[in-house]
Formats: sequence, structure tokens, C-alpha cells
Amino acid sequence: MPRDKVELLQGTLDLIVLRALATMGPLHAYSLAARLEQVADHPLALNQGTLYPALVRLEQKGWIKGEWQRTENNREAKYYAVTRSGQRALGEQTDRWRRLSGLVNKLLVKEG
Amino acid sequence: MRRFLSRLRNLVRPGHAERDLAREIDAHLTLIEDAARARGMSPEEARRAARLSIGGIEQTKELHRHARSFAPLEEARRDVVYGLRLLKRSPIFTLTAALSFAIGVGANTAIFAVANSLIVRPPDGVQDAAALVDIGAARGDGGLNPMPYASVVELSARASSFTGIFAQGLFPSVMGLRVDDDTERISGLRVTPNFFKVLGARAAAGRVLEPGDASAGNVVVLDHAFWRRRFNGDAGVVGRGVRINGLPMTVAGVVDPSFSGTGLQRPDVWLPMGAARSTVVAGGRLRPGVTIETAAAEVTAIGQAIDRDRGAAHAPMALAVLPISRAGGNRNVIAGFAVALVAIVSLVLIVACANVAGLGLARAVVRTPEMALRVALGAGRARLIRQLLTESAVVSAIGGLVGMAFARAIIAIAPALLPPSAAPFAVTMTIDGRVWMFTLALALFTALVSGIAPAMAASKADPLAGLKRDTRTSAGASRSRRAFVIAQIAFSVLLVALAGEFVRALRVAGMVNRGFDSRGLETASMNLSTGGIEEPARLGVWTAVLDRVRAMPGAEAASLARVAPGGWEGIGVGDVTTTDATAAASSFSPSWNIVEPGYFTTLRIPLVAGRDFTPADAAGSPPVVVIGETIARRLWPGQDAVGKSVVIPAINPGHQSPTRTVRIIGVVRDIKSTSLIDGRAESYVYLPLRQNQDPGYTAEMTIVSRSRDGRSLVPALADAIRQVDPNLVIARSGTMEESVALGLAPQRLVAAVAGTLGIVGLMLAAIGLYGIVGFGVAQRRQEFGIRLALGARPSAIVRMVLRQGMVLVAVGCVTGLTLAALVGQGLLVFLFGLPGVSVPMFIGIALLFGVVGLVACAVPARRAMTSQAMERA
Repeated sequence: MPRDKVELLQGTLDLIVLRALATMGPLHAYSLAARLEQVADHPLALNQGTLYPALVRLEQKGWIKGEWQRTENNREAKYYAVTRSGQRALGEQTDRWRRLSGLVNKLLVKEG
Repeated sequence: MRRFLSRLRNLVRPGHAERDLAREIDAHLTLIEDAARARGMSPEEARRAARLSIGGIEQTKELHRHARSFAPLEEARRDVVYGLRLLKRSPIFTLTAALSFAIGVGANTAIFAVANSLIVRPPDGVQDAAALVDIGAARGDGGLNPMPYASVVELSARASSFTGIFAQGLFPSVMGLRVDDDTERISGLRVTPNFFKVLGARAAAGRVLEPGDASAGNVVVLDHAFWRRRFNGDAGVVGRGVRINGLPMTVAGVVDPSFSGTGLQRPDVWLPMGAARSTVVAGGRLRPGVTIETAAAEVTAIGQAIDRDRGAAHAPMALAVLPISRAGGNRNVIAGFAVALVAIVSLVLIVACANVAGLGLARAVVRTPEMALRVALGAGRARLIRQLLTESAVVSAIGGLVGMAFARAIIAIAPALLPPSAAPFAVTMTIDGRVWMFTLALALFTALVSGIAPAMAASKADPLAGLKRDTRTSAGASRSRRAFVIAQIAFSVLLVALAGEFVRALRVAGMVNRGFDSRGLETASMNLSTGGIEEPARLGVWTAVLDRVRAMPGAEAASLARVAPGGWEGIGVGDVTTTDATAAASSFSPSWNIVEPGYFTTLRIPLVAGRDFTPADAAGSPPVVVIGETIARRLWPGQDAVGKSVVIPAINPGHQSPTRTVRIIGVVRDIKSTSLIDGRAESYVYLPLRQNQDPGYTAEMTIVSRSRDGRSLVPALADAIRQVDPNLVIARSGTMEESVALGLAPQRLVAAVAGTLGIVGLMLAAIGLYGIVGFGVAQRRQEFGIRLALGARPSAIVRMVLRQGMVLVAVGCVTGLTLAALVGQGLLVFLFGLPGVSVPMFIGIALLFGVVGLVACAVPARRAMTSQAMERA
């Protein structure tokens, strides 16, 4: 894996996916991957396949829901949408991430 | 919760999620391909690109499955790997903890394995063991007593639950095997001819006994190991003639090597049982489809019928059935004994747990920053506790595996702890699935018990306080750490003290000094009635036999006694009384014996005063006795009893033997004979056989003989007896050690176990102390370094470390000895009639632990001296 790629911290992908779905409305896995690459503006160490575990985890938590639909080109695809509890969770998780990253930053600066 | 339910659904119905996944990935690939083709790629290129960008279809599916599956398993795997890595970084802790567990788990496993082999597992080398049962007379503890042979015959005729019922003698007995002109002592067990057929034991050469052998009676089947040993595995021995106890026999065959009988002892030969047997151990094979309950009900009913037929004159004997086991009817006795042992051994396991918990608590302090960081990163407390418990599970798993190896070693040497007996121990100790389960449960238990306190302590980490790198201020943790060390020392002290009490009990019980020398002594009992010899011929036969025994080149000394030491029998005659005015008391209740001259020299019982009997002390000469010194001291304190007279009661009123006044010709040391358990010496009145006018007591006598070179005299003795009268056979024979040791086997085993465990506990306590003190020193190296840099003398540092360690030792010792005193007062006094607390022993134990504690503290203390101010803890 090339050096300049960023590896996502475990647990953060879920948050990113949730955020993307909340912003963009229902997406299927492919368009979600495209969206993430576009937003990141940076080569993410992201095979599109690695999105699936995040989608499964989020769906199992009930934060998103998948539904089979047709694309504009009449292909079938599973679209994922954020549920109401997903919206709530997104707020909480974002807060938590801010606190955590603040703490980690502080620690890194102090100890360094 | 929802996630859990959905995973549960996936566990139950994996197919649905899998199909959905395949469809979704297909769709995904199609979309990528569409996009690629839109950018002008060929269909093949587009497919390739799609596959590349998704990162492998199978990997994707795997990731998906993974997320769907039970994450705890994956987390556990990660924890184990992490735990292993951590443990590798602190090898001292790991070694100490694992060794502690290994010892505790190993000892418990060994006991469980022994009990399992004795009371649960069926004998080896039999077919369809599940259908085999023990049959006997029910007794109070749920076990079985041997039953009359007549009842076995009756049961065989009437019971329909069995395809066969067999019987065997209670124990293998010593026999003389004569091949060509060479006679040797072997052990033989008499069994009904259907014994092997019912059990399904096969022959390795020739044949086993068959039902037709009952009438012939002159065949013998050899044990495989004995055949290899004695006949070098020569198949030509089948069909050969040998003599056993003087009777001609033909070797019918050799039994399969896997078969070693159904009891605890493995005989050298099996012989068909004559019909004259009185009491036997019985068993049977259930008819297919018959449950053990049905069989038990039938046997009980038939037993009641037998009891009714025998009438009111006989005590009723309720027959009962149990699944077959090595311990047979004594299984509950052995089970109770095993439980007692496990209770003792569990003390060691508790010490080991305290050991590990103490070390774990110490580590919890060091790991506070790590835990704080994890909490900061969002790990829940439950998650942390789970991780810490996984780490202790890893340690106890290692300990459990090593403990299993220990257990194997213990089991391998265990039979050597058993008292010597006529036949070798028959039971192969097996580590089977049941034992593994037990060990696993034990390891889990230890992981939980030893891990929970450190896990709770460590997981309490406060993210902010914990990150302050200060690892030395947790007063609560260090308090409980000290408490663990104290508990550990206290329990070890208790174990050592218990072991000491048991050894003392055995000492009191006469293991050390019985008043006679049992080494090299053999006994052979014989009843002249079986040879049809009645008064007045008996004395002549006895002296003729004894003369021949004494003439044997291997015999150093031999004599005859009515009551040989070590057994449980005695003859009750009554009190001796004195008419002497100078006597301090007028009567004494002694033990009685009837002996031939030379009895005291044969047993090496010291003569305190006067003389032994001589052949001249015969009928017609003045009646004489030899008495024990306690009788002499009681009746004539400070005086010489020799020459005084006592009146002895009518020995056997039925035979009208008169009361006699007899003269004391000798005083001998008291011996501990029949009452070995309570350890009281018995004072005997010895009557000379030649002056005994009573016919009732001398039909059965025991020949006691001391071998010159340690080789058994029994075979030659059997020959000598045959030469005197071919009809006579030895009823029982064995070494004096056997008869003495058998009675004390439980105490000996407990003492050996408690003693071993006491030493183990001491080692554990030393390891634990070393670990804790060493850890404390490691924590404070910086502090010590600063002290040294500021001019503190190294000796002051050493003294400080030692003092802190030794305070723990002192408190532990006092606690342990107090516990031991309580236990000693209660349990041991009750069981063994011991005098309460032994102060010298307690002082000795305190000294022992003090010295060991000092050594355990000394090494870390030395290390403290070399501390540098600038090093990091």
C-alpha cells in the first residue's frame, strides 16, 4: 500500500459513511464510494469493498436502511438511507469524535 | 440489541444474507462497469477495472461476513494475541503466575483423575462395560459389602436381568507357585469359572477359564504381565503342569494384556473358585435392554426372598447393584476421601490464585496509563474488563496445560505411595475427556478468581488522572496487593501446619515406633480344623511346623502367636487380678496373646526384665506368664514384677478351664498392635502355648517368621506345612508391613499429600513474595536512585525493602498459625485424638517462613541498591 495513502482509524469509516448518506440522501455502495473519493480530495486507502462492513454495521445498528431500487440507467442497486435513529446517532458520534480528536491532538502536542 | 438480533438472525439463516450480498456485489460491479464503459473502455477492460476497484469479490464478501458475524469472537482472538504479546514482555509475571496455576491445577487434576479412574471408569479389557455391574450387600454409605457365595448361586438361578453373574475372592492372596523345583511367592485370585466369559475378557494364549472348569478345578490362567515376567512370554507354558500351594494345576492360558481384573489389585494368576467359598465379591452383565434400575429392583427382591428363607436367625442382607468400577462397593469411601483431598489441594489453588491476583493488581497499577488511554479512545469498562480477563485466561490456559503435565507426572508416581500389598496396583490412571473437562473448568475458575480483582482495579482508570504518568499513588491497589500476599502466606502456613499435624498424627499412630520391628517379618495364618486336626494333636502339629520353619536356611527367627500385630483381631479373656498386698491396684484389663518361645526375639520386642518362655514351660511345669511393662508398672510401681503372681480368669468357660494363679517370669516392652489408629500402646499378657489348657483358641495360630535375606519365606513355609500334613494349607499370608500399612493407608496418603502441598504452598508463597517485593522495588527504583544520590546508604535501602516485605510475612504467619490452631483444635483433635497445638512445630514453621521470606525479599532488595536516579520506572 503506497505511503501517501491515509488509513482510516477503525470506527471512523462508519461515521464518514453515515455523514455522507445524511448529506447526500439515499446512495448505493458504488455512488457512495465515488462520493467519498470526491469529498476526500485525497487518495483514501479505500477499496470499494471495504465499504460493505461499514454498511452492514450501520444497518445492524439500525442507523441506516437498505432498499433495492432501480438506477437512472435501469440497473438494480441497493440504496442506503439514514434512519431517524441514524440522524440522532450522527449528532452524538460527531460530538464524540470532536472531543476525542481534540484530546488526542492535545496529547500528541504535549508528549511530542 | 438490534445489531445483536440481526446477527442472531444471520446465525440462524445465513443463506438469506449471503444471497443478498452476492446480488448487491453483482449490482455494484455492473454499475462500475457501466461507468468504465461510459469512459470508453472495452467490456473486458471495464470488468477488470470493476473487479480491481472493489478490491476482490471474495475479500469483499469475507469482510461483509465478518461484520455480520459475532464480533466478540474476533475481539477475543485479538485480546488473546494482545495478551500473549504483553505476557511475553513480562516473563517473570507470566512464569510465576503460570507456575502457580500449574501446581494448583495439576494437583487437583491428579486427584480428580485418580478418583475418576477408581470410581467412574470401568475396568480395562472388558467388552461393553456399560452393561457390567457390581452386586453385593447394601451398606449404610451407599456402597456394597461382599456377599455370601450361596447367595450368588441363588441369584444366578433366579435373576432374569443378567446374562451372567460371576464372583471372585475379596483380594488376591499370596500363594506358592512351584515350577519344576523352583517355588516362589505369587498372588492368586479365585474366581468363578464364568468370570472371563461374563466380562468379555479374552485370552492372549491358550484359553481363559470356562464354565466347565468348575468341576475339574485344576487349571490356572496367567496374568499377561506375570507371564512375560516369569515365563518370558513363552507360549509353550500353556498346557504345562505347575503346583500352586502344593496342588497340581495345568496352565490353561494367558489373559489378554489389556485385562487386569476388576479390582484394585492385579493378581498374577486366576484360579477357579471352589464351592466352599464363604464371602465373595460379585458382579454381572445385564441382559441387553435391561436397565440397571430394573436389575437392581430384581436383585433387591431376590435378596429379600433369600433373607426370608434364611430365617430370623440371620441378620438380613439387602442385596444391591451399582455400575461396575474399580473401587467396587467402596466407591463412596474413595469419593469421600477424594473430596477431602480436593479440599486440601484447593487451598493450594487458592494460594496460587491469590498469588496471581496479587501480581495482577501490581501490574494493574503500571498499566493505568494504558487503560486511561483506552478509555479516552472510547473503550467501555466492560470491554476493558473483558480484555483483562482474557489476559488472565491466557495465563491460566498456560498454567492448565503445564498443570496437566504435572498431573500426569503425579499420577505416574502415585501408585508408589500406596502401601505394599500382595499384588501390584491394577488400575491404569487415565486422563480422559472427563478429566480434561474438569481441568478446563478449573482453569476458567482460576482465570476468573485471579483476574477479576486486577481487572476491576485496572479498568477503573480515570482518563485524566491516569494520563499523568504517575503510577505510584494508588493506595487502594497497593493495600489489596498487600492483603493478597498476606492471605497467600497465611494459607501456605496453614497447609504446612496441617501437613505437620498429619505427620504428628502418624507418629502418634505408631508409624515411627510400634514397639516391634516389622521389617522382614512375615505372617502366615493357618487353621488346623481345615485339616481335621483336633486336640490333643494340635500342639504336636504346631511344634512340628515351627521346627521345620526354624530349620529353613532363610529363616532368622520364627515363632507362633494367637494374635499377630497389625491385624484387628484379639482374644478377649478378661482382667488379670492380683492377690499380692504390695500391689498398687488389684486388677488390670490387658490384651491377651498365646505364644511360643522366641516370639519376642522374632518380633524384636525388648525384654525389660526376667526371661522369655522356654520349651520347658510346658504342661506339668509351674504355670507362667510374661506381661507388658504397663501392667507391671500399674500393679507394682517401682517394684520388680518378675516373680510376682497374678490370677488369670478362666480362659474359655465353655471348656471349663479353671482360674489359675500364674507366676510372672518376664516383663516386655508394650507394642502398638491392633489399635494403630488411636496410637495407644497395648500391654499384653502373654500365655505360653505349651501350657495352654484351652482347646478353643489354638486351632488357628499365626506363624511369624523373620527372613534372613529379605526373600519371602512363604513358599518354603507352604512346603514345610505340606510335609507336616498334606491336607493343611495357609489361610492367609503376607508381610507384617502389609498388614500394618494397610490399616494406616488413608492417614499416610493424607500426610503425604498435605506434606507435599505444604512444600508447594511454601514455594508459591516465596514466589509470590518475591514477585510482589521485586515489583515494588522496580516501581520505586527512581525513588531509591534519588535517595542514593542524596546520600542514603545502600544498607538503609536494603533494610527498608526487607522490613516492608517481612512485615507481610509476619502478619501472614500469625494469621496462618492462628487458623492452623483453630483447625487443629477442631478437626484434627476430633479425628486423631491429637494433643492440641504443637508449639515447637509452630515456631519451626514461623522460622521456616521467615527464612524463606527473607530470601525472597533479599534478591529484590539487592537490586534496589543499584537503582539510578535517572532511570524510568
